[in-house]
Amino acid sequence: MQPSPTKRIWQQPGVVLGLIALGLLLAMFVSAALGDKSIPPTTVVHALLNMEAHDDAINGIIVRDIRAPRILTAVLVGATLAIAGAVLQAIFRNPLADPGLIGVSAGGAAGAISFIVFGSWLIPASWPLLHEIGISLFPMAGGIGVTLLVYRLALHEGRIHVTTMLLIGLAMNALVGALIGYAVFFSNDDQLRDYTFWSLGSLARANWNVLSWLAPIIVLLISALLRYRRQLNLLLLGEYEAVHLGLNVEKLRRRLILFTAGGVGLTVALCGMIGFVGLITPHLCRLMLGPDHRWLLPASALMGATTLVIADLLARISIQYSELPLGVLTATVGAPFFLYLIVRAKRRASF
Amino acid sequence: MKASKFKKISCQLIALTLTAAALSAESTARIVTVGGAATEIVFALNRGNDVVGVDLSSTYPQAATKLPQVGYVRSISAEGVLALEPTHIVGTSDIGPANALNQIKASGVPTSVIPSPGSPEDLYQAIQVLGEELEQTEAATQLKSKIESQLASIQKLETKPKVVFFMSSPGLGHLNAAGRGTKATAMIELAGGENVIRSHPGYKSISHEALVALQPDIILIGLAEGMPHNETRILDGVLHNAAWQNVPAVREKQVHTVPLGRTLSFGVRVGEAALELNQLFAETVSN
Repeated sequence: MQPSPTKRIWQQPGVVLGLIALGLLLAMFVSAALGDKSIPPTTVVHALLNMEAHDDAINGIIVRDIRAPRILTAVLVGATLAIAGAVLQAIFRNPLADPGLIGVSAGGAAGAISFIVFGSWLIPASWPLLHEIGISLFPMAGGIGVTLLVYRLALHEGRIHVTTMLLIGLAMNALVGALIGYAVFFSNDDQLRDYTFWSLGSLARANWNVLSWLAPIIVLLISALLRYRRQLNLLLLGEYEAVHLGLNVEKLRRRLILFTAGGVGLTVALCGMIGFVGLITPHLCRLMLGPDHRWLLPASALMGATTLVIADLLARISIQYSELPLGVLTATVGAPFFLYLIVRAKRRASF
Repeated sequence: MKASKFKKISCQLIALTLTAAALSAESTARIVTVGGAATEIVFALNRGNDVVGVDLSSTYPQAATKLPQVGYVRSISAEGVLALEPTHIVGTSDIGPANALNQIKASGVPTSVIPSPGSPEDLYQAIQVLGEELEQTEAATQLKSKIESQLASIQKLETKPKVVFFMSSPGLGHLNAAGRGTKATAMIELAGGENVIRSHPGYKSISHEALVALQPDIILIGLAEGMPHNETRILDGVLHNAAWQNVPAVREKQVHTVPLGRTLSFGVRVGEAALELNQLFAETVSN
């Protein structure tokens, strides 16, 4: 795709991408500077530049050990959700393919609650490391399993029927809802309260230990997904056309589902269900950049990161001394925007 | 007239400021309490004036509910707690998430975590530990002996009344009953009764028929304090249910609402709450 000569400078994809990246950096800094405790910006900068300094000043601890890991986790999780949404929308050739709608999140949730409730019976409490691993692996497996199942069931003679897939996704969500219901029934009070807050989404589990294993996985995953940007562009032409151009659509789809469902499952395990970031941000980027995945994928990742950093900032500062659940906030903003997109598309179609 | 009024107000203001200054000079301790039982004990140990923040489950005493909130005990915000610049943090063992607790501990602020009490013994231990940490050992001893004497005056009942404890309004059709291992069961036994629901642990929904089969003498309905309730309607929902007219508790009109926080927190009011229930049980058995 050649930039047409009539495009203004701020319509150039590279410039748009740069602006989003700049916005992300700005959002990260503002988020580091704001919170329940008012800390002067100079102290914030100082604390961020001296990551290794071990002073007892509480301001330094808040910036370095509470806010910084949280912001970085928001970046990683937001980028994963958004790029997963963009990829799923491309491989299912469906603008509604959100990790939530096709069952990735529900599968992840089922994995997480099963582990929260039944894991304590299976694994002795004296092995905390196994619990740490389990609480991450179960949701990943759940997310991948449910998504592969939805994909298998929706596949008919090598093609995916979009309506069928959404309906199967709906049925899987209901089935997983029942599974969660069983787990809730057998849970004790503490587990139930944990599940409630976990399902509303939060970044409160973020710390440097979590980041040390999360960051490499997510970076690898995103760079792996970015490598498929040209294949995804071929898929834009249509499945038959892509096959005739020499693309192994089956293989591409299966591989990408594995990557995205695993990544989203991992974020669900860590932060609970954070809806609409994966659905909305790719649309937002498409409005600005068009459908070319060479730009769309990195832009979605950056935009998703920015969205989640801002959402988490709002979750932290909107109620003094306590936190709003993050998933509630993203749904409050995301759902009306989704409606707007639908109404807009409808109006265009009728004219 | 105007001048004298102004003078009066300014005098009051100065007096107020001086009192406030005197109060703040008295102690520079700033305590954040997380968990209903922790808050109750700290207030009962005369350190209520030093408490600068509580969590949502701290509904007693009244003064605590007017303090800044740091969220619910299972989902507190580490920065929110630290932003109150506490010199001491007291929590019950269900404080969480674990990450927030670790971050708070890492900040170096002294943090005490008492077991979330489920029996008088747990409570005595928590009172003693906090008495030492808050330098109120004498008040702790007094508080403990007060509760002990209250519990000692509970009458032993020859025939234990059969009790069912509902967590929510049964008039709504959803019978969320307390089973094995719950604080409700512990409280019923402490007050000399017997929870007839032994089929399940925790709080679970039971069928309308089960209530007929179990034939309880007393039905207790726990209501959360600070929420609006229409008590008459809640009680009528049970008393006028045609299916339950043969259940002794319904026939003898032994259906009562109890405040949840006071009855189930096993906090400093455990003695009062148990005595009150014991009285109710004794009357029912003697009838």
